[in-house]
Amino acid sequence: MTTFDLETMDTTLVIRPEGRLDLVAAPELRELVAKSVASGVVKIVVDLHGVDFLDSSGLGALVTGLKTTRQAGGNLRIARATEQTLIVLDLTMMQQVLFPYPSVEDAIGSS
Amino acid sequence: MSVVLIHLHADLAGTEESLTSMHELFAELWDGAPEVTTRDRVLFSLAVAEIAANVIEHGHDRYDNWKLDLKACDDHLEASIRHPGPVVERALGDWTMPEESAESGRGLALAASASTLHYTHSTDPEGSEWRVVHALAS
Repeated sequence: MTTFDLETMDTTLVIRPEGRLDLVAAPELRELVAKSVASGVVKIVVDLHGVDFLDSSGLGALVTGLKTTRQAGGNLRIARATEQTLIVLDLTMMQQVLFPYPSVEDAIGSS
Repeated sequence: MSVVLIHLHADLAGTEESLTSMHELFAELWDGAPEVTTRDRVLFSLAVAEIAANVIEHGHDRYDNWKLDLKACDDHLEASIRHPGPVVERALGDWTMPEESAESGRGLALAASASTLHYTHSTDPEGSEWRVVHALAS
């Protein structure tokens, strides 16, 4: 079971998944981002600190979120990646596209 | 000759249930092989999980059950994933990493970059088998 804690900081939505970001949880993340963009909040930070396992489906949902937000004039950034999620980003060569910020504040500040 | 430290088996069914059971089995494996480094654990479990997700996702109702064997030896980690049904077409395909903007299609490429994969298709009732082998640094 994966839970998603949502917090709005200024004009940015911070999504904090807890648990696995995998085949099962990826559709939920896609939907949360889509709903946020539809409601006009187009800057999103996904705080990965509570993610104990990221797989290619979860990574795919982050890429979808990045594209969805950019198309609406915003962006999606990731913060506080764990060792496991950093290895996934490394193996898939996605660090340039999804740069892992050390903190949520850094991710928001870079926007 | 490899020394087996721990060998686990589970018969799994359902998407979320089977993935949860798989992660519980990983935890049991590391309890029985505490010397395995975090990086090796991550790489091996990632490869196994990607194969499992591929079997579940592309099998749909054809692969509503599958079998998982996990083994930790002193020099390598090994997994066997067995599933009934037709050949997994992607097993025969190209496992190159897709372009950065791709929203899917990284699973097998990611698994192959994390560990060594072998696929054996069989029509016997036990089904086909994916084998994941991850060598441990000495």
